[in-house]
Amino acid sequence: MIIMITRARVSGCFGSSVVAGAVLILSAMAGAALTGAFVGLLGAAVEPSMRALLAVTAVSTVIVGAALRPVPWQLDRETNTRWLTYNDWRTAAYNGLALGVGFTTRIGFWLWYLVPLTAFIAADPVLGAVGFTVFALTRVGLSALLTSADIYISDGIIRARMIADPLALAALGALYPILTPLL
Amino acid sequence: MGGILTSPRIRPALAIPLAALGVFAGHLLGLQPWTLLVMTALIVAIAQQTLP
Repeated sequence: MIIMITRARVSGCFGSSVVAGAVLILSAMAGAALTGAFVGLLGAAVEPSMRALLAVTAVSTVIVGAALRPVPWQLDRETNTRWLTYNDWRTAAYNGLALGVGFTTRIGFWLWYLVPLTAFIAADPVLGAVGFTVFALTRVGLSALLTSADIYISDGIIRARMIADPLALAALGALYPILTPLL
Repeated sequence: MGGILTSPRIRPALAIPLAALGVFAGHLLGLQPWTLLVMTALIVAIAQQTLP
């Protein structure tokens, strides 16, 4: 991901890495907002009892998965390397979209599943869009910031999981008191 | 310490009390879905900076 962002920043997008960074972040936010709104709409489209039933099933499944394995169910890949060859605005835009949406590349942490799950449970397209946008802005914005400062975080995923996994399990558990009254 | 969370025996044993703690905390605090959405979005996005 860092390599992709670095390339996106120096891809010669209008000759400006600032513009490339802006395209990267804005496309990430746009893709995330649309995804979040869609998930929120899905939640709103079903009756509260059915929504709660679907969500309890999904939450329980993710808890079992998180209990059994440290690596989440994910597409084990980075963004498409062919996008690097464009050398124009598309490199940043496509990378931004993919990273902002989140699930089309490695997610790395079970905690990620809380984002679509809670957007679905919130059953509000605006809240869903806001939640996903917070995710995209933090993920891609922070990556761009760290890259521009030449700061690379490597081999920290195991340590990060030691914090993220317990949080994920506790947060998944915290969804039960929200959902059970709706069943 | 990282090995604890990857152990196939210890990991499930830790998962149950953690999820139960979450149920208890959620019940006590009256958390709303959107608060969990924003908090988890923020935390996982920061954690993802460590992705290879």
